[in-house]
Amino acid sequence: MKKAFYIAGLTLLQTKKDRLMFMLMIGLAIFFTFIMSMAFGGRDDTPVKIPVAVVDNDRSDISREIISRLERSGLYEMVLSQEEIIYDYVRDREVEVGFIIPKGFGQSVEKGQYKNITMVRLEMSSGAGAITKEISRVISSFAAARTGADIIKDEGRLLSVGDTGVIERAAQQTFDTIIGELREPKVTGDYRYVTMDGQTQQDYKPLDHSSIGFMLMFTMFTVLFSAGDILEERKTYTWYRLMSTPTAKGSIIGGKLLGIYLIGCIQILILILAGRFLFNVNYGPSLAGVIALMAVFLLSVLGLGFMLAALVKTTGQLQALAPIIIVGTSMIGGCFWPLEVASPSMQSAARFSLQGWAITGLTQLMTNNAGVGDVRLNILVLLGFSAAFFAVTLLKLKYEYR
Amino acid sequence: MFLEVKDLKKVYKRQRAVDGIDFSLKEGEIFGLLGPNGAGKSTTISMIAGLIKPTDGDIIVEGRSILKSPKEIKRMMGLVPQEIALYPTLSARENLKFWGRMYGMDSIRLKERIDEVLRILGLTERADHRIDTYSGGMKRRINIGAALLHQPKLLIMDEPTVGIDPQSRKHILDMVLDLNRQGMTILYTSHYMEEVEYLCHRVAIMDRGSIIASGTKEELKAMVGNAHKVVVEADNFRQYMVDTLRVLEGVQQVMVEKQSITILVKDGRKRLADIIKVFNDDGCKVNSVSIKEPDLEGVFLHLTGRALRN
Ligand SMILES: Nc1ncnc2c1ncn2[C@@H]1O[C@H](COP(=O)(O)OP(=O)(O)OP(=O)(O)O)[C@@H](O)[C@H]1O
Ligand SMILES: [Mg+2]
Repeated sequence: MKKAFYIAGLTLLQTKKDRLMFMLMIGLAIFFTFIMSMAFGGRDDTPVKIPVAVVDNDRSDISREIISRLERSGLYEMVLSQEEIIYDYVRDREVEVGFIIPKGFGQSVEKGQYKNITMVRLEMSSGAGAITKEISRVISSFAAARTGADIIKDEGRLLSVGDTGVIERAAQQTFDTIIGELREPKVTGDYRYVTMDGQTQQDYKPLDHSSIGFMLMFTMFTVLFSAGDILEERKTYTWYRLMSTPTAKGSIIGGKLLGIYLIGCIQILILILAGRFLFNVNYGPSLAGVIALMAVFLLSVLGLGFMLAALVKTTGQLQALAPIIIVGTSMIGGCFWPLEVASPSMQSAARFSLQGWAITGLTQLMTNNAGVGDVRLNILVLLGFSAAFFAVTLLKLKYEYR
Repeated sequence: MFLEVKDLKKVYKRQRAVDGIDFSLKEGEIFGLLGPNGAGKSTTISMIAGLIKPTDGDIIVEGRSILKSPKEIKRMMGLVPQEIALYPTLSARENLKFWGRMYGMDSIRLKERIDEVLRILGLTERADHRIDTYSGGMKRRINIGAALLHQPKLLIMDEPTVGIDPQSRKHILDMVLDLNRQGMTILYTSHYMEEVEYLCHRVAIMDRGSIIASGTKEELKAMVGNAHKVVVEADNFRQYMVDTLRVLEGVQQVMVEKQSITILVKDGRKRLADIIKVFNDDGCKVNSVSIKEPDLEGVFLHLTGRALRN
């Protein structure tokens, strides 16, 4: 039994001495996640802003208010533009929507008349509606403020207050207060999307998904390649020597399993921390859930690795087979894109992917405040896979030399 | 008897690798298993070391069968595999440490033994370098060292000197003699006749899965009488001349290897003139002639008509 630990220690020592592969797998997982983060707009986990171009020919209080209101909503990225180029902007999809505030717009609103604002958008785009709504909200708040100020002025005149400056100031103050009151939205939206099976989810973050997807995939690489160790030992004849020592086969296999399992754990741990601190991934409130799920995922991957090592003859065969299996099941299992966007047949195929079970479990834990109990099916299925893989391994693994 | 091999067989699908062999080792001796490539030496050794299951027969070490109590027997045995069986990315010290652990050695004793073994091997200075930076001879030495740590009663060495320089070989052979003097029983396998002659008290000659002769070196040499080995180097040698040579008086075996013709002949010195005459009569140009005292190579040639090394 003690020898199993020495054998596990040997695997760790060898990995430490020959760490290029291990580091590469961690590095690639982080690098790919980083590339995804660039594609999805940085580590900021607020939703991506919609770019909007605006031409302000009016330069009045109202036009400025409209622009700053849209900017402050956090939903739009405002780009100041010129009338001549705004159409090209929209056509080239540099911005989602553009609009032009005409000269004299402010004055006509003051007078209670409304002038047209020109909206420029692609035919299929839907962003314009929300912007028009925002603009009319600004106009109504100006109208409300203007009305308030006018009432103060009228009342002041009726009361014949001597100093007109006082009335002017009171009217201005009323105007500003009303605008200010109406400026900040009193209700904010916490978006929840409803999926087909009726579960609500928090806002879906693509970067979180990439981070865990690549973590699972590249950990599989490390574990599967490391499982080739038992083939490598045949090549270096150390397997032969090992069999000549008074060491039980159980200790040898147990030690190998333990060593490679630990290497997988180290990689997952590093990548979880990298996700947390580099990419701001939130793994949800259930630490136990994440640990349990990752523990059984690693076990199943270890089983897969040993089964392959027992079935093939050389490390070369394993190294040719492993990437095909890993990348294939990663695609099916939703490591590259969320399963929700995949076709129903793809979603059924995901049931045969270890990563599929791991990733749906993790997504549950990360977005639904789920605990260990909520992902028990995922845990059980992964345990089932592990049992099947190890059974085949024990049947097929040859201890004899040559 | 310390080790008894009884009617041992290993049959593979296409081959009888070991075809019913018997031999035994006395405690404290060096026993040689001599045979050409593919004779079945490694297969025999693998069965003795409990690595592969015999098709038939048994191996008894100090009264216990390896089939029934493999663990106890493995504990008192050290195996030097024919191939370098070490972790190439680890240092010699790390390798030795690991293999010592596999024999259940505790830290303190292991540390002492590692230093001792490194000293015996003459590799103390290079101990912390990676094995894959070692020369062939150095790897061979560590390959032996890994089997010595736990001070086995029986050391099994499978061609421990293949492909190394003469200096390293000499070092290894003397080390084997030293270990034996300290009481270790050694089973030594080789296809180098000189090594076996230099080291072993008793020898079994193996060919195609069977032991074709065994005994002390003297007993074996007596089998060929006082025959000499005459080696003639000649140009234009033709195959039919073998028959002419074979019928000469005293000739036991004739073997042709390119330009070199080996003739096993009784009273070689007296027959030399007759032999040369055969060559001259057939218009063969003799370049050199040598006469050697009988050796194990001659024994093998006598029994099989082939050379030990091929
Ligand atoms: N696993 C195996 N399957 C089939 N044939 C085998 C197997 N192992 C050995 N053999 C055959 O058995 C014969 C004896 O092999 P073995 O390795 O014991 O010879 P050897 O005397 O050690 O030769 P060498 O000097 O080349 O090491 C060879 O012909 C070999 O091809
Ligand atoms: Mg051999």
